[in-house]
Formats: sequence, structure tokens, C-alpha cells
Amino acid sequence: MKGIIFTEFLDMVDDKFSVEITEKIISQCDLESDGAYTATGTYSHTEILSLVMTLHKQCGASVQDLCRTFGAHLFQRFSILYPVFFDGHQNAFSFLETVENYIHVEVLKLFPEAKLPSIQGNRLGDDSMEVIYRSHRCLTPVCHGLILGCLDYFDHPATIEVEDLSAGYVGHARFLLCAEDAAA
Amino acid sequence: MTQDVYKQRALRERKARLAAEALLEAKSRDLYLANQRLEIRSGELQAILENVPAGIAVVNSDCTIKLINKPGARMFGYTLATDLVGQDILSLFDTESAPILRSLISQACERQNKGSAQALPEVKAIRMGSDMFPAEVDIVQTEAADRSIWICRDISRRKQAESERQALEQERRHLQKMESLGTLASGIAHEINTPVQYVSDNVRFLQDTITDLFELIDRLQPFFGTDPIAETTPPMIAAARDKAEEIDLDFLHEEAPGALEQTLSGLQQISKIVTAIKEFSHPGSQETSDIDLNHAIETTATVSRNQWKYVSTLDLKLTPDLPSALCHAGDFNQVLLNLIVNAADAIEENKAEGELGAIEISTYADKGTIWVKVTDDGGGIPEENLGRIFDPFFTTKAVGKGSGQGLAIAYNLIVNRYHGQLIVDSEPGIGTTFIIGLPCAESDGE
Repeated sequence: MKGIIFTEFLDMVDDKFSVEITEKIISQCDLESDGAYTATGTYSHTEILSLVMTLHKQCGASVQDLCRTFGAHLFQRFSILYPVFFDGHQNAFSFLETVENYIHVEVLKLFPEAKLPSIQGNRLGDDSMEVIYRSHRCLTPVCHGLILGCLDYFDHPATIEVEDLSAGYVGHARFLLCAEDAAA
Repeated sequence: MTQDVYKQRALRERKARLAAEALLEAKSRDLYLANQRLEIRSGELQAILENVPAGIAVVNSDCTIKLINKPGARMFGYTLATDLVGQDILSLFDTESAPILRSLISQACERQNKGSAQALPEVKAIRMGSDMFPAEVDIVQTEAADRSIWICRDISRRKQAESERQALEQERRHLQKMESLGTLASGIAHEINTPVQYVSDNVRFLQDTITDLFELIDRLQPFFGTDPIAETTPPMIAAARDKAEEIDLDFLHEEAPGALEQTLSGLQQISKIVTAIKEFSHPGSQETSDIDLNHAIETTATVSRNQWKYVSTLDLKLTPDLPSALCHAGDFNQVLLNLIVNAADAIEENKAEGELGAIEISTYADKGTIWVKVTDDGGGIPEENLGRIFDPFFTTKAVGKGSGQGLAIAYNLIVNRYHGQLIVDSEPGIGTTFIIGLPCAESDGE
């Protein structure tokens, strides 16, 4: 898993909780990296799971909520770090259609060793779409958070129905998005 | 932030910084090495482009040349490749070639970078300031759909070589034909000499007969015009009888008609052989035409008689009303002669002296193809040789008995020139059948 996930997670913990909490959860996890993350590095995804679990124990928030919050935070950060991917999109649906076949392709050009999740957006109509998430890591809530962050960024209110297809083994879910104007 | 937390954070960030620096160094090194490899590869590609014996151009979607290699520029008569940049590539070819090139462009778009065209048509390219030259063009669409790669080859030398090869091939066939005729010459001379001998004997006999008959008539002449009832009648009859006895008139009466018949028969035979030779050697038109294969087989059997008659019988089982085949009679005669001579040679090698073998030639038509089978009982072809019998200059005959070109030429004519089939079916120890298949003239092109 690329280091940016770790650096952004720790930054989020700094912001939402405190520096002390950040250092505390790092010291409580047995991390091979010792928590010394750099954005362009590559680290085992078990470390992020360990950090999330430790934070959950520390603050009492559910793992799912923490992951969703992180996903939304991550999306906001992506919009600042990589504005080029956001140019020309009128709404969240338009953006989500480009994640798999454009954004991830560009990422792999720079980091060919990256093991990215598959986030395939398919339009079902003018006001609805589905996003299929697949990953060998069970981080469906993070994907949920990314979608929430995307809707918020584009100010595109929509309802989200989550269908868990993973059977508990891998990350596999279907998100059905319906624009709230249409729903109304 | 407490001091301990600060220290912990500082340590972590220092470690992260060092890791980032190490990653940066590694990435830079990778980039440098990749660049090196790219430069080497670029140099190799450049060397290939500048030395390949073909013109290679990158062409924009509007057919203007984006770049072209030096061999390409030279091919079209330009010193500098840059002189061609921006020029319409179609202007480098004659106007008649434009539809062909446009068709290639369309095909390239359809293939979409999945390899080159199967068949490359010939076009005429223009060398600046001078003549046109024959060329082959292949067009491949790049992944960037707005560009294509044109590969152009000057095929002048290839065409010239092909023309020379065809001329050599024609000469080879002619020489082989002369070789066959040379082989046949002594046999034909013998075939003609035999009837000439007895024609000559019979004519001499008839000459003497006529002399004797005229003497008889002379003896009777004085008595012509006299009174038939006169005292001269008995002496006349006696004189005629004496002369008749002298010249053996009964014998002449009996033999003369037969001698005349034999003479005429002999002359017919000579005429047949001469006609056959004439037809074999100069079968009329030099072009392909509708050929009666049965007649050609009979002609060739006659011409080649001396080659097989001492070692074999030759049985013709020719289907009447056989459809015509579209080919050149001379070529077919040549092929058949080679097969008959080979059959006779095989029989001569494998049979005991005085034992006659058998050659059979049969014809029939089936589903638009005319089949000619030449079968012999000459012992067959060893299996190790079967794969080579159509190779040029391959022969198992003694030196001087054949140059090994007969079957190679036969194969080239039947299969390549007339789009027929030439199949061999051989049973070692038994015999061989060569099967020629030629399309019927009326079904040609179906």
C-alpha cells in the first residue's frame, strides 16, 4: 500500500484528534516501519489496519466510521494534491466514471508496483450510477468515504445504497448512487 | 505537544525523510538507467531506419509526411529527408496508383495495428526528375490513430530478377524439350527406316513387275490392228503364252496387289510418324487453348514408340468424348513424354531381358477435372526418393540417361502454370502411377 495513505491517515489523526494521539497509536502498534512513512514509499496494508484498530480502541469510534471519515478526508486531499484529475468534471458521477480507466492508469505509470483497488463507475441513467469496488484488502468503508468526499466536493447530493458482496473474505461491494434531485 | 511526543515525532519524520531521500535516489538511478536504455534503443532503431533497404515514413492523417528515413528519401530521388517533410505522400506515386493506396489506407484503419497486409499490390512510384519505378507499399496504422507508417520498397531489381528467372526457366524447358527430341531422334529414325525399307523393296518389285508387263505388251503389240480371225492368231497366242511363262505372270498377278498395299501402308505409317513429330514439336499456337488430351496422348505414344516398344506394351484406355483441357499442347506433350520415357526406363531396369512390361495410359473426366493416369509395372519408386522426385536435377538414372529435369519441369508446368495436379502413387516392388489432373476448359475459373 502506498505511503500516501499512511501519511494522510496520520495527518487526519493529527487534525481530528491530536498529535499526542497520533504518536500514541503508533507506539502501541508493532509496526515494521516504526510509523516512519513517506508518501512515495510502499508499506504493508496490515499496518493501516493495525493503526485503525488501535485508534478505534483509543477513541471509541467504530472502525467503519473511522474508515469512512478517512475516505472523505483522503478525497479532499486528492483534490488539492492532484487537481489535474478534477478538471473538466461537472459533477461527481462524471468524475467517478474516470477513476478506473484514467486516474488509476496514470497512477500506475508513475508507480507500476502499486496494487490499486478496482473502483469501476458505471452510469445507469442520467441521475444514477453504480460503483463496483474490488480489492484484496477489506476497505469497503474507505471507498464509501471516498464516494462521500466526492459527492461533497462536487456539491452533488445523492443517496448511497451499499451492497456488500464480499462474503467477508475480500473487499467487494456495490454502491448504488441516486442523485437527490431525481429522488425527490 | 510534550517533549517526548515531539522527540518521537521528530525521530519518525527524520526516518521518513531519510527513506524518502533513499527512494528519490533509487528513482533517479532508475530513471537514468531507463534513459540510457532508451538512448541505446533509440540509436539502434535509428541505425535500422537509416540502413534498412526500404523507405519508411510516418504520415499524418491528411497524408502529409511527418518524417521519412534517408533510404526513403533517396528512393524518391531526394538528397535530404527533410525536403519531403510536409509533402503529400500520394504525390510521390503516379495517379493510377492513388486508388490502390487509398484502399491500403482504409484496410490499415480496419486492421488497426494488427500487422501488415497479406498481399501487397504493386504501384508506380515517381523518382524526382526522372522515371517511375515499380514499388510495393505497406501501410500500418499506429496506436495514435492520426498517424500511419508507410513502408515502401523499390522492387525494380526483384522484377528484373523474376524476369530473368522466367527467361531461364523458359530456356530450361526448351533445352529439356530439345534433349527429349534428341533422345527420340534415333528412335524416330529407326521407326521411319523400317517402313522405308519395305516400301523401297516393294517399289523395286513393282518396278520389275511393270518392266515385265511392258515386255509382254511389247510382244503382243505387233498383233494389235490385225484381223482377229487370221492365220496370225495361233502364233500370237503362243508368243503371249511364252512371255507370260517367262515373266511368271501368275506370280506377278498374285503378288503385285499385295506389294502395292504394303507400300501404301508403309507410306501411311511414315506419314503418321512425321505428322506426330510435327505436332509434337510445333503444336500450333504458343498460347494455351482447348486441347484434346486423347489426341495428344496418341501423338506422343507414336513419337515415343521406339522408347518403349522393346521393353513394354503401351495400352491406351482413353475415354471417348473427353472434355478439352485448357493448356498448351506442346507443354502437355512434353510432360507426357517424360512420364512415358521414365516408365519405359523403369521397366527396362527392373524386368529380365526379353520380358515385356506394361504401360497403361488412361483418361477420364470427373467434376470439372480431366485425369490422365500413366501406370507402369517397373518396380516402383523407393520410399526414400519419393519426396525428391520433383526436385530439379534429381535423378537415379545412369549418367547420360537423363538430366533429372523432366519431372521438375512437369510439376512446374502442370501445377504452377496450369493450376492442375501432379500426383505420384508408387508401390515399391510393383510399379508406379503418375496422375495428372487438369481443369476442364469449360469449367476453368469455376
